Amino acid sequence: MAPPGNDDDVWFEDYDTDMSDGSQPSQPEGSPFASDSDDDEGGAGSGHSSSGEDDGFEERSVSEARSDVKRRLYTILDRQSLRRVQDEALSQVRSILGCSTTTARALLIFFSWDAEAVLGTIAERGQDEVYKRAGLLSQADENFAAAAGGSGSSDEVTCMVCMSDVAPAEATTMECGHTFCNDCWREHMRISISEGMSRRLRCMAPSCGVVCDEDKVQQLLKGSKELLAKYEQTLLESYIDDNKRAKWCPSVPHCGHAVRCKEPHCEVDCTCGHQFCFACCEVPHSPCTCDMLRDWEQRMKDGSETSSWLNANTKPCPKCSKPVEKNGGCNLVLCRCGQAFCWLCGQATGRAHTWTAIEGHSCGAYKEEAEARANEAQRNLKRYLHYLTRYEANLQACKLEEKLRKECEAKVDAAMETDASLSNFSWLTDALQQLFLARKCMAYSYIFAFYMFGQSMFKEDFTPEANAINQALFEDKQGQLEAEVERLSQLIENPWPVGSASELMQHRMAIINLAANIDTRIQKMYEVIECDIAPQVASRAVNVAPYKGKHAQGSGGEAAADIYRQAAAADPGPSTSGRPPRGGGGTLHAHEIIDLTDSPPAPRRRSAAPSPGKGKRKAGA
Amino acid sequence: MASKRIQKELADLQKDPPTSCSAGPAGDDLFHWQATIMGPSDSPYSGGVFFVTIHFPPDYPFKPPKVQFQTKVYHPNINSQGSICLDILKEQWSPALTISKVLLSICSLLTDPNPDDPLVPEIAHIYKTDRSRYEETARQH
Repeated sequence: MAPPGNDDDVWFEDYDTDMSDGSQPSQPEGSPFASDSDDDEGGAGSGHSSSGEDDGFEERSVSEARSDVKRRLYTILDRQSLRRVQDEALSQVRSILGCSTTTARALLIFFSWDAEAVLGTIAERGQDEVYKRAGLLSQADENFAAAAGGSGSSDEVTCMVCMSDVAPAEATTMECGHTFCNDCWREHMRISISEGMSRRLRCMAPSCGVVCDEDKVQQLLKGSKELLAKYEQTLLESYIDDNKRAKWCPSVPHCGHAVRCKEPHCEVDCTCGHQFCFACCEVPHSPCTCDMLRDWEQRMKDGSETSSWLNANTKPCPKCSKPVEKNGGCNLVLCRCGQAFCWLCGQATGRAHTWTAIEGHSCGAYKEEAEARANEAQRNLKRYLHYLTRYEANLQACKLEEKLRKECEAKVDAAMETDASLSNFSWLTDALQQLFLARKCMAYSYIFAFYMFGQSMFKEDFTPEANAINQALFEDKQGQLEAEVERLSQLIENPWPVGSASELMQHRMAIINLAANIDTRIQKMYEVIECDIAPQVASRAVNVAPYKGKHAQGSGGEAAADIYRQAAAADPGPSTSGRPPRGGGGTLHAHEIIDLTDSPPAPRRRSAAPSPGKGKRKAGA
Repeated sequence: MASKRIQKELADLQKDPPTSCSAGPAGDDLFHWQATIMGPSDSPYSGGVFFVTIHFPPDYPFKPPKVQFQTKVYHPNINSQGSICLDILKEQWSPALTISKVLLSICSLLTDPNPDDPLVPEIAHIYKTDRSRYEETARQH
């Protein structure tokens, strides 16, 4: 790890001066701020359209570079690209093994579309064994079958399925050498295909099981277009259905896209707008793991906390058995049903009591164990509620996104009247995006903390001391992030200094800087998880999807950096010439953060464009 | 298609009946057969006569026939309902198989049970651990 702390501290000092003195903040050299504001001023002077176009052009190249990076973590596939990637895999296997498409497909299906596994296993175990396991003919069998099929082609053949004699032209011989009449083949295929067995369309001969050749299937089914279409469709979809690294987008209604991931623990942003965790198909939930989320949702759903609250705070009445909460006073509790009982031992008592004793009752002895159990339950509940409220508060804040966005539009309109050079509001949409991303991140970080430091899910992994250290470390980062998030939220929500152009500019700088800081803070938090906490866990896998950053580049902690390295090694194409992805948060420089903050992906900026336009019209009228 | 093929199979069975088993339609319904299997001489079922029902699905022979014992059989792969655990009646079915081949397979299953893929685990356990007790019980049934 490089010493990132220093960079960071410096950056913070910068930020503080921005806030305190009224002058133009000192900028790091080479900061794109300068160029950006120049651009804006130029735009204000010479007309918006030209500068807008320039921006758009720039953005496209930036967003292209970005989507290059994104492509390395996962790929969104539509019909065409699905066919393309499938064909790529098929031709790779075909060209190396010199086999037919059918054989290549059967092998790939058998190995879950992992071409490397196909070739690796063949190199290791030999072609014949692998072919046999995948239900394919080995080379020797094929030669034998060809010889068998070639002879006696002039005589009538007896189809062993319908048991009738047919002319050779009416029969088809598969690669395995088994001949049946075309009618029977067609019927067999019709039934198999309609039962969804297209990709395992086997020969009809007993204990043969060789996959039918695709060309022959197509030849036989020429007459029934619908069936053929279904056959081809299923073969195409097999790339997703039989592939561990690919999934359909779980959007409802289904958008028709599929996603191929290099790394199962990653969060996917489908082109249809649906976001999901690739591993569990639930909403993105990083930094909490899939296990944690599942348990958490179960907890929230079944209200098991209600019962644990009851456990901690009530006792059943010895007469009516209804739970009774003690609302103060001494240990003589009176149930609504009229029954008095002792709070300590739960036994029924008389109603009269003195300072020292209760009539008809001498429980006196302190039931330590019962007390401890109640305390434990109460403590656990308090702990859960602590995390639950924070989780919910952050998600709630996220839901106010739309409202805040509208408010911001109004503010932008007002600001426009003060300073026309603020026409480019991408920085604001960016900051908002970062804010909500951070909110979600915060929300799930509470679930993470609840499980990670709860000494139940990871009980075996940490001693209480180690746990306390980890918790302190994590909460330190979390706290820093939270503080920044609240500051940014406040800064965006509070009235803006619309009166003065310089103050407004300063306000803008503050927002941009804060957003950039938050990005770093999130990365720091992920770093603690990935570098400090996760390596200590041995009992189970801590699979945290890497932090994507607000532009969903492949960034985040070490894991993401690893993926990038793998991707770059595997795919030394145009990707390497593109912009390098952001590695682990620790190696980042403030400059780079600003750079990214100020150049959003194209569609976002376009959506922000109407508001300044509106402002202009108003000003004119 | 199905009835034509069933009729052909019936004709073949009558022309060249397999040893130790016979089969034919139970009534007017060509898709519902009744078969008898003689207990193989080299098995504890020797001397027994087992009745078997056969139902042909409408898309026979592309789908396997449903074959069930009517007579109770003490066997690791045949349960008390008469269901038979036999691969060629399920995933290993091939349209080129016939009823006479199925019946022969059942005969060989009676001689050589497959205790590693049992339908009745208790019998399979006895078969594996105490062969004489298994043979004794099978004979009594």
